[in-house]
Amino acid sequence: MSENELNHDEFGTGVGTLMWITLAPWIWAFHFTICYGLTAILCEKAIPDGDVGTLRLVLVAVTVIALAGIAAAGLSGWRNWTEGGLLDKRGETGLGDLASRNRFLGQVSVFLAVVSFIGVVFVILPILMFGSCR
Amino acid sequence: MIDDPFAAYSGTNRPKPEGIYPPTEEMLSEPVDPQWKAACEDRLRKAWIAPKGLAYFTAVNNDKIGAWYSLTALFFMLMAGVLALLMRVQLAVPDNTFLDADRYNQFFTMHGSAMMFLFAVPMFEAISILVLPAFLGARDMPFPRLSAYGFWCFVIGGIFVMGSILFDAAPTSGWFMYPPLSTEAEGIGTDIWLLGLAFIEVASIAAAVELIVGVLKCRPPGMRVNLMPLYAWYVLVVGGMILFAFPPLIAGDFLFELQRGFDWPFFDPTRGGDPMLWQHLFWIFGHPEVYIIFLPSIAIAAMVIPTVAQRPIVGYSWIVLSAVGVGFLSFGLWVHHMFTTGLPNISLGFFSAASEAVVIPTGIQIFVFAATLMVGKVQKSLPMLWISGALAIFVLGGLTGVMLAIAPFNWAVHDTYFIVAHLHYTLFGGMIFPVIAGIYYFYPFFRKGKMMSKTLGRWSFWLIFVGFNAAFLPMHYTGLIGMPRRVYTYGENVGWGWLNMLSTAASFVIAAGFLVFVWDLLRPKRDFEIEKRNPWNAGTLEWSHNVPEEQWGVRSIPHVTSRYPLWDQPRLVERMDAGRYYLADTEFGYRETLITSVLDGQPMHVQRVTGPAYVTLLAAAFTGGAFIFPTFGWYAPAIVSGAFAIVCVLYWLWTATAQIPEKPTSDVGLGLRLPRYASGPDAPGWWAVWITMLGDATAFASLIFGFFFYWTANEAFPPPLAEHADGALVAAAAVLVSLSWGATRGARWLNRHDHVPAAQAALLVACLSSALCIASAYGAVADLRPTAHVYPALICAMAVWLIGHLGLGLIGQGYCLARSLAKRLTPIFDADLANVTLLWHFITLQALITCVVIGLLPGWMT
Repeated sequence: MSENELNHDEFGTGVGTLMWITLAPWIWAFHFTICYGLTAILCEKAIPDGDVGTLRLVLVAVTVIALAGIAAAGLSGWRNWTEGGLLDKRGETGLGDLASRNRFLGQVSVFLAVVSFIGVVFVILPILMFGSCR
Repeated sequence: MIDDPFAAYSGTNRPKPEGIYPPTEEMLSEPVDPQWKAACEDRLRKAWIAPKGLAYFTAVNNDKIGAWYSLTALFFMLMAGVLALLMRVQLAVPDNTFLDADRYNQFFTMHGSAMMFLFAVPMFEAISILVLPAFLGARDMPFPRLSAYGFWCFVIGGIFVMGSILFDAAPTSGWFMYPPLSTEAEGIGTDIWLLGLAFIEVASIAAAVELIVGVLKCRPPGMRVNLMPLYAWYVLVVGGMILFAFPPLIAGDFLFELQRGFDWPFFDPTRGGDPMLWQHLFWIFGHPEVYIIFLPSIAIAAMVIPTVAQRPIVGYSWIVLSAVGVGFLSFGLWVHHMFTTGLPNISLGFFSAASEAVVIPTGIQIFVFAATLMVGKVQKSLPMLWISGALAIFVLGGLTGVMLAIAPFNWAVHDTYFIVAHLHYTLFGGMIFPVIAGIYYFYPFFRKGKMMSKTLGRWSFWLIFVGFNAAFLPMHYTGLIGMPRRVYTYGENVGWGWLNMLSTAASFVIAAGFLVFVWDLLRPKRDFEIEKRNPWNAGTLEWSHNVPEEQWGVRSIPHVTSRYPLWDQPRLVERMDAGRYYLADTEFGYRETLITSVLDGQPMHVQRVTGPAYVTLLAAAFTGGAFIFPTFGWYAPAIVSGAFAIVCVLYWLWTATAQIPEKPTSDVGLGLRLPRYASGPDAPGWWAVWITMLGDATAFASLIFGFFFYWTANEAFPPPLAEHADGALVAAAAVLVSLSWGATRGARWLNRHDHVPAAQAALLVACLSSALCIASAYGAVADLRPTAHVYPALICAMAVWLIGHLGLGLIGQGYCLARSLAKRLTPIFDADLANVTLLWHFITLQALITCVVIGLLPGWMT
């Protein structure tokens, strides 16, 4: 007889845990917004035809922080995913138990971290390649 | 009271689930008493009976609403298709005079608007309402009347917008309504577009609320997030996208209509406005919208492909990654529709990069499908034929999309037929084909065992597939050699004639294919032999449906332990039918469904769901009036109609939601007792408020974005010598809104801790503060002249927004006070107050930000 799960104390409503897997894409979104917003404001208000050296420095710093955050999100997901052994039979993510659900959430966080990492790298390329706003 | 079944409980000690969960195999194999089973079936049938006669249209069951919704959307699609055919006739030969320029403009505007707003998005909502509860083994959607309300809003708004074409009054400025062309356009076409579609956007948000709550809270016990059907994942992502994508357009519509109706110069550069703001707001909506259309359609493929391959999907987590990843990245693409507007090149670079990045998750799901088909034993079937066509066409559209994401190429083909070809490839491949595949696949589910014709299906597939490619493949070339979009005719010397003739001829082949499909869909099939219950041998819960039809949704709600329960849980259907599982009975003759927890699908409580009613129809009609009358400048009738709509909604809430139950808990079967009432985050209604207000906050954020946009776009914003909002009154509004919020929050606490009269007093204080806050917000801007410049106009627009929200919050507070006085809101049963408190969190945040932006920021900026 399996244990009674009714009183299993779930932290909050569970939506927080579900949102946690989207941490990396949220970092991508913030990074994107900062890149776009800062460039728009500086290019319109401060350096219409000027040099983007300072902007580039700031955005590269933001990118490094964003990438570190995404890596951390991915790492934490990796821990959940591989708990109990990655290549083990127990590594399955489609079983009807709590451990499998956690592995699944971990796996999706890792995948999303990879996509977000690539996304952030893509977005920073223009600022490295362009010398001015125009 | 001695007989009070709730005597043992209080506001801080509520009924909880009790008993055994999960059920054991031993409990599940216990036979069901046939007499009890028959009695339960009788009771369920009575509770879920469909209204007859004229009242038929008051039905709210998801299968009825879903069917009406999808047929209505199909009707609008066919109308928009006829417009396309008429345009093709006009373009068939050079210098044609079949349509004049104005009518041609009306036709292409309505073709695009109708296909997007009246077909593609509503079709997603319709199909989801139709199939989602069955995927989840739920009796119905959590808020059936809300679905019905959304549907009737859609019907009214759709007929109004589409009907304008019959009176030669349709909008003419293209489906994205760029100002200044559209703000200066004569006639009421633009207003019809703005108000009619804003009304339908409200219906979309209603559907998003319904679908998100459905996926999160109405799953069967045991269905953890890693076991959900993939369709549910897509619905969750798309619901979230709607909340962030539609509100910017609603905010844009709001500003636009203020300019059209009252000459507030948001898009007029001579008074500090900027047409570019509309382009931003439109495409922040418009690009994610493409994915809002695409994802749920490809979700159908994710349901069909495992069945066709007769094996579980390969890489379930990869699909989830793909859906969530696309959901996010799609918000970083909007400027690729604006590459030629003169933004800094470096900004274009960001959007070009994001547009290329979105290919990665999109590609992954295509590979997952291919992998599943490769390792499975593929059975040839009509749904699979359509899915193959979809993948072929979509990949082509995707590839031209990669080309268009590159800014220099985009500049070269901007506004040419290359774009027309690209967007039709993505939409036919990404939406039309998968949806038709879904209709063939789910038809035996919709019509309870009847099938569509294989021969006709093949005919219509090849007609549409060949016709489509013959019509749109040449358009890439037509565009490359220079033909612009949206020209009503062209000269003989340009050499586009034969290409256009080819496209026109082929468009009639597509139309023939649709005729065959629609005939097969709608033709009577009375003498049809009923096929099996699960004709495709699929593994997901919807195929446990009752044949012949029953109205109750599912006979009993199963305990699920697998992604493909029909394949992996051998006696599941038999036990569902026997009523062995949960909620096999209805104790008080109510319509009920089970609410479970977000992550693990643990049973939480029994939710009473609403039944048929006229009030939803009336509410939709009056809401329609509130949106439609302003088109003609009839503001007084609009306000009256809006007031009636509010009264209808209040009546509907008062009589049908958060009803005090007969007893604290109910036996739902398998040794489990669940509470019959929930409040706060346990209750679906609380989530509905949360989700709605998240969308509302996005619209508000768009207004704030507008403020900063004008600041970057203007030399000086606020302009020198500008009139400002009255600082003292703005400060007073901030204090009053905080007071009102504190009193509401306090009332919730007091009520929950059994201090009912004190809670009522607090609510009264809250109401008074809200009313005074409205007065001060009005007073703060009353002396401004919004027609003079965009700065006062935006300040006033934000004040109007704030006053509207405070008014809503005031109604909520008054409603709770009335409920409390009527003893319908008590310390234990305080769902209304919990919801209104949540509402006030959002209102207060918006109000304080508004006060900072209109009161403090201008001082810092100058």
